[in-house]
Amino acid sequence: MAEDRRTLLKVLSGVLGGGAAAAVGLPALRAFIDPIDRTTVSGPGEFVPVASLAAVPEDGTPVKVPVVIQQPKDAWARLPPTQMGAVFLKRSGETVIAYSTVCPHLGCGVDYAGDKNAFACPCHESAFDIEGKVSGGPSPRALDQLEARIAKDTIEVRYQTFKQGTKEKIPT
Amino acid sequence: MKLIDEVDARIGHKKLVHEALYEPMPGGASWAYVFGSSAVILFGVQVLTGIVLAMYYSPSSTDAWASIAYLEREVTMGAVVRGLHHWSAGGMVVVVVLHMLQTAIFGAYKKPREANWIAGLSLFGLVLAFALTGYLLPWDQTGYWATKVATSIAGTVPIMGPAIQRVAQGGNDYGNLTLTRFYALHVVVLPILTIGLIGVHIALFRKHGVTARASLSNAELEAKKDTFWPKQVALDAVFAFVAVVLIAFVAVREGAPLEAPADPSSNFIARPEWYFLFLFQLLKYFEGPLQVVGTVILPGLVATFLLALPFLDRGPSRKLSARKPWMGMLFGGLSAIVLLTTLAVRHDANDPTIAAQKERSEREADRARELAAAGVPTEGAAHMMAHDPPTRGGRVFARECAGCHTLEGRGPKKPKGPDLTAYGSRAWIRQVLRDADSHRLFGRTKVEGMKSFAKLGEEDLNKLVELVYAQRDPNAPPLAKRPGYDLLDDKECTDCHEFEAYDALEGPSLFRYQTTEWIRQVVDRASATHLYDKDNSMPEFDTRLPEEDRAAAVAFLSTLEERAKKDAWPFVDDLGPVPTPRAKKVKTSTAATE
Repeated sequence: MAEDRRTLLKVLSGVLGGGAAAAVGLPALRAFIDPIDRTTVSGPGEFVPVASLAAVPEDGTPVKVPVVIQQPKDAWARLPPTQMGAVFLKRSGETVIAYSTVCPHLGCGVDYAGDKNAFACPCHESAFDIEGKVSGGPSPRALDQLEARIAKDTIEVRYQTFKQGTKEKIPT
Repeated sequence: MKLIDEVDARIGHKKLVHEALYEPMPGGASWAYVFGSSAVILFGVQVLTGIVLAMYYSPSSTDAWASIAYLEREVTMGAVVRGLHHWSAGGMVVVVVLHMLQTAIFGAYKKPREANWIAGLSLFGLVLAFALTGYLLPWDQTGYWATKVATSIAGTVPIMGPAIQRVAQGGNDYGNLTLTRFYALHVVVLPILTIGLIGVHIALFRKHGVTARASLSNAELEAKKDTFWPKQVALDAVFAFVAVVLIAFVAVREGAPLEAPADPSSNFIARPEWYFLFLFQLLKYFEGPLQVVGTVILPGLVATFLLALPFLDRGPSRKLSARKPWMGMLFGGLSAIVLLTTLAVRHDANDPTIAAQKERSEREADRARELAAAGVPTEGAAHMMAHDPPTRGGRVFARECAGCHTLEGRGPKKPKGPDLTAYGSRAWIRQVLRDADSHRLFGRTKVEGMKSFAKLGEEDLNKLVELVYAQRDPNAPPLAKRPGYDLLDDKECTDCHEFEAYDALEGPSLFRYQTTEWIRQVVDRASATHLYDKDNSMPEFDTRLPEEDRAAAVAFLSTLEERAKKDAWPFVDDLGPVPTPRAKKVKTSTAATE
C-alpha cells in the first residue's frame, strides 16, 4: 500500500511536471519557429514596378533599369525606398523579358554593348548573346531571366537572386 | 538498463540523482516547503520565455517598441510568450515573498543558516532588479516614465547620487544607451548572478538541511522522517503546476500590457509595477529635503533590518512565542507595505485624471499598434505617432482647443464653445437643429439666432439632418434632388445659410459642411464672412499654429464621429446632460438600451 502510494506520487510528479513544462514550452517553441513560413523581409520575391512600358524601345534594344523596392519591410521596420539591384528589360511588342544584371559566373555586373548588341561581363569576360545565352567565357549558364509582367502601362519584375557558379539556376 | 549502467560508469549520474532525490527530511514533507522550488521553476519559465523574447527584441529607442509590437501582432504565440514572461515575473515576486515569510516564521534564518538567509535576500533583490530593468525594455509610456522615476530616485542618494544616476541610465538622459545598458543587465548580468546565487543558496540549504516546524519534538522529527523524493517532489509539483497553469491562463487571457511608444514630450503620470507601488506611495509623504527619507533611508533601513535579522534575533528558540518582537517588526513592516500599496491603488482608482490618462493612453496604444501593422518608419515609433495626423491632432486639441470646447465629458466647466462630442455625426447635427442655443452648443458663444426645430415632426427633422449630413458626401445627389429639399426653403434655412457655395449670408455657409475642407476653414479663420463672421469668438489659428498642427487638428476632429460610435457615446442618440467625469456606468447603460 505504502509502495503504491509512493508510485502514485511519482507518477503525479511526472504528469504535473510535464504539464507545466508543456504549458510554457509549447508556446515558446511555436514562437521560436515562427519565421519558418513568414516573409520577414519584403523585397526579393515580390513583383515591383521598374519602368513604364514606353521607356523600353519596341525594337528589342535592352535597357538597364534599377529595381527600387518602395518602403520594404524588415520585420517591424518600414525602410525608405531601397535600390535592391538592376535588370535589363527587352521588349518585343507587348511582351517584356527581364534579365538580372548579376553575372551567373561570380556575381559581377553585366554590361550591354550596343555596338555588338550583346551582353558582356567585364570581370572575367563572360559573353552572352542578345537572348542571354552564353557565347563565350567562363559563365556556367545563361543570364538569369526574371519573371516580368505588364500591369497597365507599367513593367513589373519579380526580383530575385540566384546562386552563382552553378549550371542550374537555383534561387538564393 | 544496461545502457544506463554503461553511461553511469562514465559520468556517475546515479550518485548525483540519488543525492538530489534522497535528501533526508526530518519531520517529513510539508506544503510549507513548496515555495522555494516554485521560485526556481518560475525562474526557469523566465529563462525560457526570455530567450524567445530576446530573439524578437531590438534594444534601441527607435526600434524597441516596434519590435515588441511586431512580436505581439505577427508572431504566432508571441503575445502568449510575452504574457508568460510578464505574469511569471509577478508570480516570482509573490512566491519569493512567501518563501521568505515561511523561512522567517520557521526561524530558518537562525544560526547556522545566517549566510543562506542573506543569499536568499540577495536573490530577492535580484528578482526586483530583473523587474526594474525589464519594465523599461518595451520602451512604452509606462515603462519609460516609471523607470525614469526610479533612476531619478537613485539620483537623490546623498553625494554619490548624480554619478549613480548617470551610470544607471547610461548618460545624461534616456536614450539608446539606457536601453542597451538595461538590456545587458537584464539578459546577461542578472541571470548570471541569479544562477550563481541559486547554486549557492541550494548548496547552503543542503549543507544545513531542512528546518522543520519548531513545534515538532525530536521524537516526532525522527518518526515522520522521509526523503525528498517522492512526496515532497509531488507537493512541489502540485504547487508549481497550479502556479504555472494560473500564469498561463492569465497570459493567454490578458497578455502583457504594451502602452503607446514612449514619448518624452508627453506628461505621462508614471506608475510602477504593483510590487513597487508601496515605494511609490512612500514618496508622497516626504517632501523637499526630507525626500531622501522616503527614497533611500526608509527602504535602506528595511533592507538592513532584514539582512541583520539573524544577528539581531540571537535567542536559541525558533518558536514564534520566543521571537515576538522580531516577528512583530517583520509583520508590522509587511502590513505597512500592504497598507501603502492599498492606498496607492485606491488613490489612483478614484483619480479622474488617472482615469482620463488611462483612456487616452489606451486609445493611443491601439492607434500605435494599428499604424505599426504597416511597419514602423526608421525614425522610430514615437516619431510615427507624433506625425500621425489624428494622434497629433488629439494632442493639438488638448493643448489648443480643450480650454473652450468640451469633448466626451471632459473639459472646462463653463465651455465657451460648443461641445464637440460626436462632432460630425447625425446626432450632433440633430442637436444643433433642435437647440443650437443650449449651453452645450452655441449658448455661451456670440453665435445666435439659429431657429429651433425641436417641435418639427420627427420625419421632417430626419430629412433635414440627412440633407445637412450629406453635404460632406461628394457622391451625394445634387441638393435639389435629395428628399426634403423643399424643407430648406419652407423652414427658412436658406434665408441664412448658403448650401451650394462659400457665400456669406447671415449664418455660416453649409457648403461642404463638416468636410475636412470646411472644418479646416473654421480652424484657420472662423471669422471668415462666409462662416461665423462677426459672431465668431474663436481664435484664428492660421496665424497661431503651424500647418501640420492645423491639418492634424482637422484630421482629429474628423474622427470624432467614429470615436463616438465605437464608444457608444450616449448622445449619439440624443441630448443628455454633460456626463462628468466620464464613468463606466454611462457605457453599460447605453449598451443595455441598444
